[in-house]
Amino acid sequence: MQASRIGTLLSLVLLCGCGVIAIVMALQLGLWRDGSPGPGLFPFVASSGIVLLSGFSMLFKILAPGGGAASEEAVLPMAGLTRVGIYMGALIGYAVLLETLGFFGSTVLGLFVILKFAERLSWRITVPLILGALLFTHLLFERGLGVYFPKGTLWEMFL
Amino acid sequence: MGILDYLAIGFSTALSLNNLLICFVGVFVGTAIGVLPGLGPTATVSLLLPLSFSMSPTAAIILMAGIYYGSQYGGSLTAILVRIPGESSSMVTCIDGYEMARQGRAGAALGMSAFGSFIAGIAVTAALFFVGPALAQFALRFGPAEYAALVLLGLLLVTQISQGSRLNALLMACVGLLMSTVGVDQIFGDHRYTFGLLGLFNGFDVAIMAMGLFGIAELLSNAEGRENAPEPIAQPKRLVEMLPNREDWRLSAGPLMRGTSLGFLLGLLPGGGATIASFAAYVMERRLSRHPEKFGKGAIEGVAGPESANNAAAQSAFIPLLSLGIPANAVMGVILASLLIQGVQPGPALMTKNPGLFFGVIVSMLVGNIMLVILNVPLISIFVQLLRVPISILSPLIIVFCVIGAYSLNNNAADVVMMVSLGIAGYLMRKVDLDPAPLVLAFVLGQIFETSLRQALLVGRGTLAPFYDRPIAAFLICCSAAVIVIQIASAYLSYRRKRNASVAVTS
Repeated sequence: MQASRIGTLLSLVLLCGCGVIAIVMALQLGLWRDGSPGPGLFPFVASSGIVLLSGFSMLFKILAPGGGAASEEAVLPMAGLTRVGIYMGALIGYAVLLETLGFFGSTVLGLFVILKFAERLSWRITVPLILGALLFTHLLFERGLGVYFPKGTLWEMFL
Repeated sequence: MGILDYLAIGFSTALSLNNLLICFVGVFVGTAIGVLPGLGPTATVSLLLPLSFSMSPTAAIILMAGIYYGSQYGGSLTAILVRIPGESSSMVTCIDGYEMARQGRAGAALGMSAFGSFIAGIAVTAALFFVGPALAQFALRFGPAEYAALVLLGLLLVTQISQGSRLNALLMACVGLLMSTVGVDQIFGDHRYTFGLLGLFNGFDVAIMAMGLFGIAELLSNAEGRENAPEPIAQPKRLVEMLPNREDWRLSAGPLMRGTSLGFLLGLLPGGGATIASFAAYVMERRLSRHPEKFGKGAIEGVAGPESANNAAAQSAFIPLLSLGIPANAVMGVILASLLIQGVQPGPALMTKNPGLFFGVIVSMLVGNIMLVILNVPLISIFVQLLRVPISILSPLIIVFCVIGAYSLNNNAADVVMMVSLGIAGYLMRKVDLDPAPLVLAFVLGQIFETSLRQALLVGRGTLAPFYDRPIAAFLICCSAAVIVIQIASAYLSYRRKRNASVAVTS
């Protein structure tokens, strides 16, 4: 597991910040109430752990031998990063458009973007694969297991 | 009820047609995902979590258990034939197994791996029948303080074997504990960290979390680095080619027994598991061998020991889960979540309240191991063909199944958005050396931990007395303290070593 040093430090700062906010909210909830542990006690313990450990981790990262040099940065292949970016975009689009386009519409779109742009597969593979996936999920999940698939608000408006 | 009654219940449950079929599906899928590098048992069990809700709790665990120990078998196939470990627990098998295959002894390596796993599986299943009830009986003495102390020790031990920094693993465990508090407080009814969002009133869904952090994150990591699978070494075509000869058996008898015992013990410990067991068995065999120089050059002991150890550990890990309700690793954490969602509370009472589940699962492991050895010996060539299916086709299809799984939980598209967000977060976490496994495990244990801690503090009238007044709790707390001290000392020594090395290089 190769970690980017700046990325690690940023994530630790973020976690530390979240921990501080969580401590404040836990204190507002109350650590002790009516002679028993309050709803804020356990969150207080957990978030204190986050603040302490992320602080220590940051300290070790900064003090680590050779930590100041930028040589630790991992060089990632551009093609791989582009593919991950397309995957992420397709996944977000798939999830967000699920209610609007319905399961089948968003699946076609999501699979198309991934297969055609991220994986760069030919039309001859992409189209049968999408159709096969739709047929398989319809037969197995919708018909066989009775899973409900959203139809899509967009189609409901027109049909 | 005596052990024979429990045995009868176990067999009648495991040998029902439905459970036999489920067991077969589990071990088959487990072997297949074990063969495929990049898709581990944690991700697969997480992805199948929504599907398991439509099954009975017993069938669900039989399925997931089959996937887990089936993947241990499958992982070794690619380790021996292609030098790619299908599972992290098969990493050490690559060393001597692949060397054996290069020397034209792939059949013996595969055979010893399959038979070694089988022997370990059968031995451990038999042991589970005695250890399980004994541990459950012992756990009846556990009160809230003991449970809280045990969860604390378990979390600390899990961070020891986590990928990357131990400090970061502990940090992730704290994040998991905090996330487990999101939702409505069960005692006072206060809203904790919900920010007025209706979707957070019931807290995070563990299935969504596991699918996102393990499933989607793993697919994104796979998308980043793609390597074409190398051509496998010619695998044996006939059954007779896979049977180890008399000399192989003579050399492997000791490693098989030691690997089984070591794997069994490591599987019982929180934080133990198949990966650590296989590494420990390999190191032990090399130390004990009269010819340690043969290791790395095709020693069959280097296959027999780790392969028996990883299967033994994968199965014995079910005992702390079923007897104490404490998962030993991330896969067990997801299985615990599945049980809790189905309304089954694992723990000491499970054996008497639901003997069909407890003993049915154990007997199903016996049946599953028989199925696996039958599947693995003649069907090796079919499983190896799976390597030819490009990951570029598999990944998008797995995404579709993830989306269906997440949506079908509550028929809510927000769950899919949450899964995708957690998946992206999980991918980024891996990039910055933050392992999501302790987070998910701590999340699953969080509720037990909080409830036990609050009850213990209530009993102690606000003091920590229950933790030092009660011997078992005090012992567990001492163990936790020892783990922390060892962790700090080893971190300091490692820092000193690095610093000295850095100074030496500079000067």
